[in-house]
Amino acid sequence: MIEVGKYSIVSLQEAVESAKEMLRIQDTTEFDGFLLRKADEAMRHIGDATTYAKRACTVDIVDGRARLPMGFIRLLGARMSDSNGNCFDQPYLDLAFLTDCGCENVASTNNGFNNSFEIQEGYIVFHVPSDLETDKMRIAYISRTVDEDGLMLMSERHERGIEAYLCYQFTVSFFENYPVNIRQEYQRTWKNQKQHLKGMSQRERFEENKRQIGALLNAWITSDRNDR
Amino acid sequence: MADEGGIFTDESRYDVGTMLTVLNAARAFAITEMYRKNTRVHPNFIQRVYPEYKKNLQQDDCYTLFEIPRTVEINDKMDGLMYVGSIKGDEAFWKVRTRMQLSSRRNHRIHKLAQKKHIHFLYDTTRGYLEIYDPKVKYPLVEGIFEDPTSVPQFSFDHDEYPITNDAMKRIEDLVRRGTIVDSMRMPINKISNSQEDSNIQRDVQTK
Repeated sequence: MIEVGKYSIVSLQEAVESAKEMLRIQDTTEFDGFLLRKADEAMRHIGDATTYAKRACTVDIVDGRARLPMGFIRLLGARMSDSNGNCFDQPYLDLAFLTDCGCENVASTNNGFNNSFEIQEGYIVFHVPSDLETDKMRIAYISRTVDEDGLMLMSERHERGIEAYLCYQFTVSFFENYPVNIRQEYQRTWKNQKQHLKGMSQRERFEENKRQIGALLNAWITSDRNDR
Repeated sequence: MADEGGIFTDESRYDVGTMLTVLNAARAFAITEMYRKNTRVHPNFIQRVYPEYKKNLQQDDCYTLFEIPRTVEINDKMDGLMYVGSIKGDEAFWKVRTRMQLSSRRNHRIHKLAQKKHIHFLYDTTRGYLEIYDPKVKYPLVEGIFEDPTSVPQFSFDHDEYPITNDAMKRIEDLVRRGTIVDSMRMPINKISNSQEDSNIQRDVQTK
């Protein structure tokens, strides 16, 4: 089965325009802000596997604090280097990421917690900012799939679900203008689409990992340990 | 006005100005009625305005003010402004209904973001101004349904047609006839000039 639209990223504004046409309010821009907000909310609410991504970026450290990037969920690793390019102080360890810069020994030698940091209110906060030898750090992290403004990125396949959510929310907001069965129809479409999208992304994730899972199982089944 | 017993004299208020006001009101009513039925506005009703940038009108560096005529409120979602945007007509600005809404929207990150990415406007009906929240906008285009189509700056009595459709004309004729002319004919003539609404009393006296 070929599932299209996973990698075709479209703007949330496209779902807003579709919903406006459905609701027949295309002659005004008054509700564009409201609908855009709801579209972003819907994408976060779907939460299927395609709405998360592993990313890396360089952040500036100012006064011992580095602002986290948009969509940040979980830190995977942090890498800092001085002006000579020498890596140091790597308190969070993700070996593949730490050694990606070419410093092979970094994971074993400079990973002390002598200048650790923690995450507070959207910032990486260093415990001893005066000891820092750099004003930049490179981090790897799990993120929501957002654009540079923090708005969720939507793929083509999400459009129908988001459109239904927008229509549902709008008709609830203006309930006096829309009959109950219309509201329920939009709600039903939204629920079905959400389940469909989640199921589809799970299946794709499994397909992607199947080879690796198979290899692990084969190794386990055929290993010497099982012969004992 | 409605106590002349159907007799129209030079002193009647049925002059061109009054009738034009009645006509405009009936037109607005007909448009609202048609929108309720069809959920659309016929293009014939829409007029185009190129508001003039006046330097002495400006009050703030954050937005530009333009004078525009009053519009017809069609329903709770449509205030008669069908397009406010770039002069080419390819970029509609985002509408903010009230100053309160503008203020409260600044409390939400997505609205704040939208305000940065899209030009917003506010139609201040109390002053008759259009506030466009981008000081760079000097030549906007406005398309709308205006209360008095003849007061639109670029309207010419000689060259432009009154913005109306045949259907609406028939409806307006009915409305004006029923609401204004028939009402005046129903009322008996007031012969005594005493600034009193006493037409009925006079009729009763005459009958007796």
